[in-house]
Amino acid sequence: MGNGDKTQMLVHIEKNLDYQSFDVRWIPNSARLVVLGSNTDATGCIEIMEMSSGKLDSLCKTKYPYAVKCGTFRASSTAARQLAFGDFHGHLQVVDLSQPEKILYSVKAHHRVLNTIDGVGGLDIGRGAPELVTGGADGRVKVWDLRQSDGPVVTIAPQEGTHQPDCWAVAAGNAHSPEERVVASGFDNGDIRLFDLRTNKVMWGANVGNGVCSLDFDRRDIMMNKLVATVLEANIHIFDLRTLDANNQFAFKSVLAHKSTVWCARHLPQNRDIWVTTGGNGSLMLWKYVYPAKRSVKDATGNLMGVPGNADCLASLTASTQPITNFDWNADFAGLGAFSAIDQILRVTIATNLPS
Amino acid sequence: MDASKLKEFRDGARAIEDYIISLNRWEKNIKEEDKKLMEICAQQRNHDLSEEFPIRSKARELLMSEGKREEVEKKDPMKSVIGGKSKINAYDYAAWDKYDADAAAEEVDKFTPNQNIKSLSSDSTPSSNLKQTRQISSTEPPASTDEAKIKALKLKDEGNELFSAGKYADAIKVYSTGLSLDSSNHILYANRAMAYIKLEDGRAAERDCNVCISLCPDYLKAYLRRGVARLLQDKLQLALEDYNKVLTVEPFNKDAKFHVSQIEQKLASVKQTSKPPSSHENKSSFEILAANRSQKPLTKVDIIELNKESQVPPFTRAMISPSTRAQDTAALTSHQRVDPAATSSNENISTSEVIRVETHPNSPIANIPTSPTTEAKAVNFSEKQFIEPDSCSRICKSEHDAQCEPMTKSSQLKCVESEPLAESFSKFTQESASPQIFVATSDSLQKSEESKLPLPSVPRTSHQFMTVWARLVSASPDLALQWLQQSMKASLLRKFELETECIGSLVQQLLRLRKAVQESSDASYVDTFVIALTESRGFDLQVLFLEETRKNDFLELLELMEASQRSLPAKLVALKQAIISP
Repeated sequence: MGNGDKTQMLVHIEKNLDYQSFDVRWIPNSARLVVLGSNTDATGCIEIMEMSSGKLDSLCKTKYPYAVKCGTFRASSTAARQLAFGDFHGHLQVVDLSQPEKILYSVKAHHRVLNTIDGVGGLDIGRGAPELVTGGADGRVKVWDLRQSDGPVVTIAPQEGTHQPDCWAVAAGNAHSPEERVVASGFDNGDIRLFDLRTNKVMWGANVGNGVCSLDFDRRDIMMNKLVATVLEANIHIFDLRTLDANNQFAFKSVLAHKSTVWCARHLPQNRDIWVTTGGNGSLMLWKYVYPAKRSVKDATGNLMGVPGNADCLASLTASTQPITNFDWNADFAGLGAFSAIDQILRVTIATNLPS
Repeated sequence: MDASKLKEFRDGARAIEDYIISLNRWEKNIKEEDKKLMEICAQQRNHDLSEEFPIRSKARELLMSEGKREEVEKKDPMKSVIGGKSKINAYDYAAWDKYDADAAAEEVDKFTPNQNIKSLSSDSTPSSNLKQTRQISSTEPPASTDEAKIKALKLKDEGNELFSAGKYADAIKVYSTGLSLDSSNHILYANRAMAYIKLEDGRAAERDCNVCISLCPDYLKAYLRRGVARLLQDKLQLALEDYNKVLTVEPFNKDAKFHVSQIEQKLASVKQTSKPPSSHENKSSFEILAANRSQKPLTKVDIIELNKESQVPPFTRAMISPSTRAQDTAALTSHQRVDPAATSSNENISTSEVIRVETHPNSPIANIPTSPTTEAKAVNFSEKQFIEPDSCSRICKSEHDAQCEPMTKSSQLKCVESEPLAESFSKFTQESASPQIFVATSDSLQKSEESKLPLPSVPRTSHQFMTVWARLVSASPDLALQWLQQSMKASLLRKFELETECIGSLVQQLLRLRKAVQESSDASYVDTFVIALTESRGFDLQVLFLEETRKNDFLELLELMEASQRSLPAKLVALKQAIISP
C-alpha cells in the first residue's frame, strides 16, 4: 500500500440551496439525488437534482405543507423508487418522484416531529415485506407497512408513566430471512434499544450516556453484525452484535472524534466495514473497522463474550464550518456521497482509494 | 515540501482524476439504466408483494383470532379465486371445457389478494419492557358467521385504502357495507367515524363512536375520535369528558392532553366574555350550564308574549347562567326607561299586557319570598306603609298571578292583600356586578314589574345611589321611598355627594313622606334622614341650585321639621336663610 493508495475524501461539487435541507438521499440506480428540507416559511421542500459532468442541475422542486425532516427509499421497490419521508408535523408520506405532488400514502405517524426514518425490505435489500420504521419526538417507534394505511403494524412505546425520551434515531436490520427483523432505536437520553420484531421483545438495551444522534447497521440484509451509534459530545460507539454475552451486553468500542456532536454515521454500501461520520464542526471522517483476532472468547464462567475491534480513521475532511447533519452514500458507485450542512450548501463528495 | 510528500500529493491528485473520469463514465451508464428502470416501473405498478409477504400485523391478527389452530392454512391465491378448485393444468382440456370464465371473473372481483395468509412460525409472545400496541383488535364477535367476519375485515381494508386515498365518502360506503355484514365490528364503526370526521360530519361521527364504545368500552381511539367529533359540533364540555376519559387510561396521551388544554382555554374564554352563543352552540352551552348550575330547584317564571315594539333579542337561558351564581342572586332588571307619565298611574297594568321576562331561574321576579337568612335586608313592612292601598292590591294581584315555587332558603310567597310588602326581599347583587340581563318591558308595565322586583341593596357609592334612586323614582316613588327606608342609613347618606337633580327628587319624596307620617313616630325617622341629607357633601352648594319648586319643597320640609321638633338645628336655620334670601 503505497502513498498513492491513501484514501482521500474531497468535495467534488458544491451547490447553494435557498432553503434549509435536513436530509439528502441518492435516488437508487441513478445519478440523481433528492434533497429534503424546509423553506423559510416552514413549508416542506423536496428538490430533485441530477449530477452531470461535475455539476448539479435542479430538476424539480416541490413544496409540501410541512417542513420535511427525513426520508428514505429503502422500503420501495427497485423500479418504482418511491420516497418515504417524514415531516415536522409527524406525517409519514410516500411519493413517487415522477409525480412528486401526488402523495401515495400519508398517515399521521407521530404527534410531534418525525425525527428519523429507515426502511428495510425494499430495493432488494433485506428479505421480507418492505417496511418503514419511524421514530418521533413523541418517543415512539413505529413500524409501517405501506399496504396498511390506518396505522402502524407495530408501535414501540415506553411504558406509561415512565419517562418518554424523544426518539432521535432508528435503524432496521437483521433482515436475513423473511421473518427476522430487528429495529434499533436511539433516544435523546442515551438509550439504545434493540427490538426484535419476530418475537416482539426487546432484545437488548443500553445507555450510552449522551443522546444518540444516529444509528446505523453495517448491513440490513445479513445477520446483525455491527451497529454504529453516534452521540452528542464527540463519541462514536461501535457495537459488535454477533455475541450477546451473559450479562446481555454487546461488546463495543468507543471512539472520540470530531470534537463536537457526531451527527450522522453511514456505512459504505460497498464495504460494510467502512463508514463515515459527520460532525458538528463541519468535518467528515472515514473509518474502517478492524476486527479482532477472535470475535468472541469464553469468559471466566465459560460463556461467550464478544470482543470489540478497532476503528481506524482512514481520512478526514473539513467541508464546512457548520454542522453536517446528514450523509448518504451512492449505492451504485463506491465512494460517491452527498451531504448537506446547516450552511445550506449541498455537497457531493468523493472518496478515492477506498480499501476493499 | 519534500519529495515523498510531493509524490503523495501528485498521486492523490491522479487518483482523484481517475476517480472523476470513472465517475463520469458511470454517470452516463446509470442514466441509461435509470431510463430502463422507469419503463419497467410503469409496467410493474400492479405488482403486489402481498402474495409473498403478508402485512406483519395481519398475519398475527389472523393467528390470534383463529386461536385454536396452530398454523394458518396456506391458501393459494388462485385457489380462492376459482371457487376452491385447484389450478387447472393448461393441457387439461376437459377441465377447461367445464371452466366457467364468468363465474371465475366474479370471484376475482369479490376477493382481493390480501386474503392470503401464509403459515408463520413466529411466536407471538408478549413484549417485556416496552409496551407494544396492536392496531387491530383480535377479538371477534360471536354473532356473525366467520365468513361474514372475514368479508367485513376485507371491506375494512378496502375502506382504509379509500380513506388513505382521500376518498372519504367512498370509504364510508365501504365501511357501511362491512357493517351490514358484521355489525359488531367496532373497528368498522371507529373507522367510519374517522371518515365522517374527515368530512366534518360531527354528528354522524359521534353516533358511530357511540356504537363503537358500546361494543368495546375500552377502545380508546373511539373516545379520541368522539372527542374530535364533539369538538366539530362545538360540544366542548362533552369533548372534554371524552379526552379526560382517555387521560384516565393513558395519562400521557399527548393528543388528549393537548385537546383538554385547548378546550379548557375555550371554556374559560366563553365564561369571560359571556357572549350570547350562536344558535348552533346552544345545545352545548346548555349542557355546560346544566353541569354548572346548582342543584337547587328552579322557580317557575311566567313568560308571556312581548309587545311588538320591543326589540330585545330573544332570551336564552344560556345568557344568564354562566355569569350568575346560583341560589341567592336574583336578576336585576336594567335599562328601563319609563315614561314618567305612564308610571304615574298603576292602572295600566293588566295581565293581557306582556312581559318578556328574562331572569335567573332562581330570581324572584315573580316571587318575592320571605327569606329567613336575609339578615339586615329583611324588613317588616307591616309598620311602614308607604304605598297607597289600591296600588298595593294591584301589585299583590299580579304577584299572586305568578306561579312560584319555593326557594330553597325561603318559604312560600305571602301574598297578602292588605299587607302589601309584607315580604322581604332577598339579597341582591350590586348593580355593577349584575349579569347582563335584558328585560323587555312595555312602558306601562314597568311599575308592576318593578314592584315584583326585589329592591336593590345598600348602595355603595353616591353614583349607585343616584342611579338606583332615579330609576326607582321614575318607576314608583313609593318604591323608591321604600328602598330608601330599607337600604339607606342616615349615616350613609351623609357620606354621599349627590347631584342637584337627585337632591331635588329626594327632597320631593321626603316631603311627601313627611307629610304622610306627620303625626307618627316615623316623623323623627324622616327628620334624621333629612338632616343627614343636608349634611351630605356638597349639599349646601347644590341646594342653591335647586329648582324653585324643589326649594319650596325643601323649605316646607324644614318647616314641618321645625314644627315637630320645636326647633331646627342651627345649621338648618342657616340653610333656610340661605335659600330664602340668596
